[in-house]
Amino acid sequence: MQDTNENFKSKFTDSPQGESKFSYYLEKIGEIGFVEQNLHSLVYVSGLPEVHPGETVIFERGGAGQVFTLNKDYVEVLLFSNSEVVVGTKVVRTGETLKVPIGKGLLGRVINPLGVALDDRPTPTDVSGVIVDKAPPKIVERATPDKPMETGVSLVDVVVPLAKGQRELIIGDRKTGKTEFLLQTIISQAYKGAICIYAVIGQKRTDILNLAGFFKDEKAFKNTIIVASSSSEASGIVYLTPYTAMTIAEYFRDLGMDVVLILDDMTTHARVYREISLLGRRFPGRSSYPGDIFYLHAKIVERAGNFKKGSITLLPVAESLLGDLSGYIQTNLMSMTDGHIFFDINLYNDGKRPAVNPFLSVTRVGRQVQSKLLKDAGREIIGFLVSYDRMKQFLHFGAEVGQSARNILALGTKVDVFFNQANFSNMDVNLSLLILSGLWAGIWEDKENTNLKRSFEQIMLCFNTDEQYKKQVTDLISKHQKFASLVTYLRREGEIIKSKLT
Amino acid sequence: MSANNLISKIRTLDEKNKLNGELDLMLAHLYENKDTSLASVLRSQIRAWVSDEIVPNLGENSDDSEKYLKTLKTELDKLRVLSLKIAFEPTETSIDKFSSYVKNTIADDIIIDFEIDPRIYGGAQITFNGEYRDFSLKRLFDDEYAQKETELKELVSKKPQS
Repeated sequence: MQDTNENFKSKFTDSPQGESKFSYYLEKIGEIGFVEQNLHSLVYVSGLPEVHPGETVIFERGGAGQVFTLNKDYVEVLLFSNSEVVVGTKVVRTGETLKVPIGKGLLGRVINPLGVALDDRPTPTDVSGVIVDKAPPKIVERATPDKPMETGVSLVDVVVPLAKGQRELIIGDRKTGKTEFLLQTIISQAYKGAICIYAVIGQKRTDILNLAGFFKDEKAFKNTIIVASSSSEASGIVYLTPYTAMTIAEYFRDLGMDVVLILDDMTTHARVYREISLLGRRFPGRSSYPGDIFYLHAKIVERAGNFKKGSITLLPVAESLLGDLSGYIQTNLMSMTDGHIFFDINLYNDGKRPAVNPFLSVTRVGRQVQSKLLKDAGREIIGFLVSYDRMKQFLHFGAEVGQSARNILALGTKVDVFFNQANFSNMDVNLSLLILSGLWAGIWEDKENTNLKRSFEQIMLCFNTDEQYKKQVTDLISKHQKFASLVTYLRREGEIIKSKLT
Repeated sequence: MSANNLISKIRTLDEKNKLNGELDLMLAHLYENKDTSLASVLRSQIRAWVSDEIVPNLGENSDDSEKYLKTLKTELDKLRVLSLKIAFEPTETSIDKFSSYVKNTIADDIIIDFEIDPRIYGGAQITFNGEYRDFSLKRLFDDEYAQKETELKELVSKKPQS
């Protein structure tokens, strides 16, 4: 990965004419400022009488920043580089609000929030500068979500379905499989032609490199953009990451495309903003976060949605501590999104993959875009999972159970095996419906759980490789409106499944 | 009135900083006696002309003196600074000329911060209230070079005729 500081310096110090950009803007604007105080991520600058909030400023020895606040005597500037800005350094206005380069040239690239290339390739071309901080679109530009967004993970697609344009929070403890789920979603959507943008906010550089390597291997990269800021970068850069990612998403939305935007993770973003605010002597609120922390995230989340031209499906990530969903930032994000998918550490420790807790996960929009069959199946399965969970609790007392309870337990373990999905194995929703209906119909009643996984994989392989079989399954699913009727059909005519089992 | 007399004699930022230092010294020794008393400091460590201006206006007691000295400091802080980058070291006469021109033409509460940079060749670069203007010879030469660059390069690259 190229050194971002060097790339950054060249972006702000060398103009196309070869002269220093500092001299150019000093001549052009005719205003100068001097650094009076350096507070690590923030500097206080005197002078610059007509500077406006959000404007980009350049320092004499290289580096740039954005005007954060205007005080009576000083201008507060948020730094975009880790380079030392000493007291007395001259500062000049650019006269422009911060813009980032946006365009189709970004597809398949890894960039930082200022548009500087982080992969070992030239700076993206076919791009133009667009203002980063924009107001959310008005209500007349929006449309009701009407298309489902398949993640390729059967548990989510059936039980906690998502729609295009939905804002769904992904929440869970660290190392509970959230990133694997998101990568699975990106692969599933990228192959369907959606544009996928992954914003890495303040994470380790090795993780960013691994992510870039992963996408290259998966060949989904041509529809993917990674906007990354590492934990070693300046706070200003980390703060800017989700805004740049959203601006890029809006560009592709305006071209009429469906975009999936992942912000990983917003709790880190909140921590960085808290650091900046406390340095700027803002009054601390709950947990020392500033009072506008809700607004900071809400103005990003509200820019996503389903629109008359295109959609932006937003999946912000939040990290919880020991499964506590009542944290400040977590509850803020839950209230501004259209639901949340909760990754339970207890389920993860039990070996469930993905460790999605269907009882604590919510989707407020996804069900309205599901087909009648899928809606009915989802309702049935959720009801069954509740009964199954209760039955398992009951067993702890060592009580003897009747035949119906034993049936529920037997079916429940089979459903568990089905929902335990390997990483990056894409499960089409029609295939999920077929297998679940088959389970309800008793096709695998006599099968041992150890062989069950293998038989699911056999059907999946046929579905993914045999176009005729895929069409057969799709036609069957589309003929039925009710889960019960599909189950009854398979009980009578289970050949569509049985013929593929060895 | 006397405070204004003293302040009006400050021409440059260096003079202001020096007077500020002297005022701080006087304030530090205000309540001391014998060898380190204010009178002793005024005799030995403060410039004569400053001492001459201040002594008649010191109050009868230390509290009044303190008030007077602090008023002087406040008035000194209110002075506005005009930064002037020039290519030569100005003489006392030049400093007087610059200062009286600025005080008479613009405002009498402006002092000059001189910066010497021979690289600008001549003229001046002026910074005041956050505004910057470049009237240096360097800028004129750079602009001229930018216009004549192609012509000059052609001239230099011509091979001598054999």
